Amino acid sequence: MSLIGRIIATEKIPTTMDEFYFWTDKSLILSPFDVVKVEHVNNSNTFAVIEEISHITDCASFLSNFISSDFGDVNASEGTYRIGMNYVKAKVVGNDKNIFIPVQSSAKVHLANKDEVSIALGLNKIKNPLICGYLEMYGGTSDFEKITLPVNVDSKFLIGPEGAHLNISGISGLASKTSYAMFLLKSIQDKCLLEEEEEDKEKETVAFVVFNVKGKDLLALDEVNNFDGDVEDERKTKELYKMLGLNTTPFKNVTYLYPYSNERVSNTYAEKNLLEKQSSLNKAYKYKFEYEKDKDNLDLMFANIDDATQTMDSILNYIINNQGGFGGIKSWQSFLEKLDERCQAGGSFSDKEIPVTSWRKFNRMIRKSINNNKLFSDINSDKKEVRISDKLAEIKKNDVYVIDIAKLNSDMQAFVFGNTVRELYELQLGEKETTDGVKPPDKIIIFIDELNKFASSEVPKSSPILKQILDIAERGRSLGIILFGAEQFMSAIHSRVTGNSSTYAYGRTNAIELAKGDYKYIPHVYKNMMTRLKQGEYIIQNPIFSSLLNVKFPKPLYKQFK
Amino acid sequence: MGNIIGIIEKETDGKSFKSHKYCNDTIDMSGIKYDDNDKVIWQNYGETEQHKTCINLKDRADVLRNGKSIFTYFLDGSRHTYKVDDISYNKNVYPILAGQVGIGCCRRVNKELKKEQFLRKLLIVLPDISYRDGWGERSFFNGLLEKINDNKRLKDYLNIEFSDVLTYKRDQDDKLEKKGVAVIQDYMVDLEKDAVADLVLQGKLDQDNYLIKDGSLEYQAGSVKSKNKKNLSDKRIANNYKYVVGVSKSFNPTTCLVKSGGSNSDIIANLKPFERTPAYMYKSERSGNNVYFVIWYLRLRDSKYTNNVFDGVLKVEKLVISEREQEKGLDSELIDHISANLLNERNPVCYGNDSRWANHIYPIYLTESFVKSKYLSNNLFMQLF
Repeated sequence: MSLIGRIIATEKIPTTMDEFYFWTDKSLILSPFDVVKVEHVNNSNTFAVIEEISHITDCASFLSNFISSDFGDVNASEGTYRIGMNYVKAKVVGNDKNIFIPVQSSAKVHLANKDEVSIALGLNKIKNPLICGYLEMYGGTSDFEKITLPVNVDSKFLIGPEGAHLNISGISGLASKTSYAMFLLKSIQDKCLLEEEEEDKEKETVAFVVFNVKGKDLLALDEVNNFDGDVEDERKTKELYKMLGLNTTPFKNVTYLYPYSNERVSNTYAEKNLLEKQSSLNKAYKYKFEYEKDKDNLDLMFANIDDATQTMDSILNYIINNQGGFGGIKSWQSFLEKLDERCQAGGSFSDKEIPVTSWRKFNRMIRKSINNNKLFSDINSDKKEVRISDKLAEIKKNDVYVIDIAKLNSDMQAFVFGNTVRELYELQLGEKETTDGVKPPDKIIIFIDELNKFASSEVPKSSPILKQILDIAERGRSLGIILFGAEQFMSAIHSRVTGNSSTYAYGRTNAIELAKGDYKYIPHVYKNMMTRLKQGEYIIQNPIFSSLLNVKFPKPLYKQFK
Repeated sequence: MGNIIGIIEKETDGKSFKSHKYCNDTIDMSGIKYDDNDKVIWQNYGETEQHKTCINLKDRADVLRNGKSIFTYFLDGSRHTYKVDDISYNKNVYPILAGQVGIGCCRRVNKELKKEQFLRKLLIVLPDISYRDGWGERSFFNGLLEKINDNKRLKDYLNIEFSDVLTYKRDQDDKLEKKGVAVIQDYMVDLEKDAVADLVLQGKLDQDNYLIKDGSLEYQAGSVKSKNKKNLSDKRIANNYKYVVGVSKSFNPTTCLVKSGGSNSDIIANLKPFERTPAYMYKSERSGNNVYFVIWYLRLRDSKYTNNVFDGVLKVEKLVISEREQEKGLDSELIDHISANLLNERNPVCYGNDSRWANHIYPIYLTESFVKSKYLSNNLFMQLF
């Protein structure tokens, strides 16, 4: 029987267009996000999502309960259970005949079947479907079948042009932010590869640029996950992928860009044999920065410096415009020497508008990053050394570029990230030519974990990286640069970055975070749920869904490092 | 406004006064209260053992605590009465009364109550002078009832139907309004008797499945429509009450006289928690010839927690059925068993919801709430007229 209760409408708590309450048996296990169906006028059905479940009895006060235990005898028992019921608050998500008058008192409330859940949540009419997880419903109802339903999002609302950018938030470890982002990227890559097989020329082409910011997390995206030898786990996971219509292989077309390391200094957590293997398969390259081509991006090193008087800015302009002899320089060493000259007291330079002290400050900061850093040296292409910028110009549809920045210090991470984003921006703007003259992919998705490092609300407003990210957030949708950002606390991110995201994925988080204004619109119970979400569970918000959705996703299929 | 009064006015050739409508009582007046009968005299011992003192049943109740209670069914009847208008016949003015009567019976399964049966009847009570043609009164009022129920507003819009049009007599020396209320009360008692008969007919009552009836079992002899029907003096009717216990929460112990003189209120006041008084036999005057009840009192709660010393005490009543019982009294073992089971009904309490919480047993409270929840609202009901 799917009939589970009846609508309650009282003087004080009426049913409204938005929500209603119904009573149900106290032993019926329902969960927030479960969908219910209410019989409504004109033989229509109103669908609603459960928001809150309460249990009441006729016990008038705490004292009454105390008295009912023989005035405080903890061993007292009762002859009759107190009359009690559960009442459920549900939020209306739609009516199959578009009738929006409130549901009527005593109307019958049913659990919905798979198709009805699909209709209720707006999952049945999604164009350009792209798998973003699956949902499970009625898991606790013994006499009603559990529903497992793949959830698709309209790709145009995730990667443009209708809506773009994704923000994933959740606390480290428990939320599996990276895994979820990778799941979505895999889903997109699968879809694109399938369309390619079907030779659907109309479809858009997509490439991916992923930053590895933690250990070796993303350094074997194209290798299979062995599930620690747990065959059952592997079987179940693969079954889930099949159920979702995805293939069970890891990522394809992956290229790894590691920061240059030599024998003595390693700039990556990747082991030697992994690097060698990937290198032998022509999948791994080492990136470096050359003075002549990369000096224009020196501003990115000052991303976290407050430059109120804009002296650093003036010096950067001075250098980039090749003034004062900075144009003829070919190497970073010469550049540093030249800077040293500028820092000499009483130097014989014609332009005195930039004081020596500013040059000295600039010198100090630049040296911190560049001096003795092997990343800033000339490229030896025979040893698979590349400039990130050049390599990005080769990006083709369905390519996945993994740029490893995990072991770099935060200034360098910012520099590499900023540099990459800037290059991609220019590539999509058409200001930069691709290597073989072919048009770059229609969309390039950038995934960066710890977005708070670059786009936190506390980053100085003058930060060139922040400006770059804001540009992407605000204009990337039309240009085809899509940002998938992840961070622990969404509230810490610049509001223009989060505000321009079309999709939000909330993983497990803590109560302090949820007390912030960013979560004001989220119902109280869902907020509490967010503090209890399991690994592999997300609450998704996207304009095409009629309500927040609690989705799950399977474990990754690419190799996991412990 | 409804036009039921208009129909009555027309059909009975009376003149309506369109006077103020009001509800007589919204509180429960279920059953006949012990204290409205001040001629109760405890005659003899009503049980096989002749106890001299009160009997403590705590241990016995504790043993039974985890088992199934013998009480499975709970019956409660209640009514709301209204004065809906005044009408004049032969230059005299008489009140028109109306009532809603509800009878609910709940069944307890696994410590939870389920509905067993429910009846709601809507009544109109007119003075007997409203029919002045001598014989054929019943068919006249049935006809009137049909016309009232044919009323478009009742039938099509509200889907409400009256069950009966009754009359009260003018010739007794009492306030007319009170007499009308008494008719409604009697009607309710009839329904209660029917409900018990129904349970017995279905074979639902036995030694493991007793019925607790809220209030006294000391019914007035006869029914509303016939003096000789459903009397407890009729052995076939009395047999229905073999597994029925009447439990009253309000009584006036000062009027319970002991045969040898004086009142027994002292015994009741001194009852300790979980004790019962010895059971006494009592011959009812109002229920018909040769109708005896065995009565005893049982304290559920310590009086230190209650408003007065008689709170927390239940009056338990059982109809004497066989001649053997009449002669020797009820088996003390049975009385102890019933009492112990009743003691285990002390939790939970309806403290905070009902001022009579100390005397109320919860399943009866629930049954009562169930019946009350089914009433039409007073305003709606009065608007019908």
